[in-house]
Amino acid sequence: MLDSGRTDPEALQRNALQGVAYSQWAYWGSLAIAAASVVYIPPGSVRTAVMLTPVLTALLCVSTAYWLYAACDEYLRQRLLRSVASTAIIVAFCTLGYFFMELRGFPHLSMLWVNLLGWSIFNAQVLFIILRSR
Amino acid sequence: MKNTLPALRAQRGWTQGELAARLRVSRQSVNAIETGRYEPSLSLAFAIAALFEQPIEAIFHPKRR
Repeated sequence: MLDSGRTDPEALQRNALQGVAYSQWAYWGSLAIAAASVVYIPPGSVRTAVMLTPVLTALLCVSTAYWLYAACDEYLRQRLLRSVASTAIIVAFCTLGYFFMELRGFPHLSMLWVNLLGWSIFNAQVLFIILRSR
Repeated sequence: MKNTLPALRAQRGWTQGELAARLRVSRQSVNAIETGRYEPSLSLAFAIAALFEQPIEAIFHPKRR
C-alpha cells in the first residue's frame, strides 16, 4: 500500500513515479489490447469485455492522480490543480484548432486522441512537479 | 507577503530540506515560501511560527504599498 508522502517526501516521490508510470503503462497496454481485439477476437461478449478494459485502467489513472493529490502538501496540491487547469486549456485550444483543420481537409480523428493528448500533457506536468518536489 | 524565514533558518543553520522535514512539507514548498512565490495556509503559518517560537506577525508581514 502506498504511504502518505506528507511524512516522507522521498517516499512520495518514489511512490508517485511508480504509480504514474504503472497506471499509464496499464492504460496504454489495455488500449493496445482493446484495439487488437477488433482484429483477433470474433464478435461477441468476450470481445466487448476486452474492449471495455481501458475504462478500468483509466479509472486506475484517475485514482492514482487522486491519491497523489491527497498525499501532497498544500503547495504541491496548488501546482497539481494548476496543471489540471493548463491541461484543460491546452486540450481546448488543440481540439479547437484541429476542428478548423478538419474543415480544411485533414483526416477525422477519434475522440480517443483527445483523451491521449490530455493524459499525456497532464502526466508530463505531474512528473515534472514530482521530480522537482524534493 | 514578505517573510523572515531565510534569516530564521540561517540562524539555526538549517538547510531548506531540514526545515521542510521539520514542517513535514516538500523542500520545494519551503523554497516557494521563502522566495515569496507561495503564501502558506494559516495552519502551515502557525506550524512555522511554533517551530521558530515566534508570533506569526514576526515572521510574515505584508509588503508595503
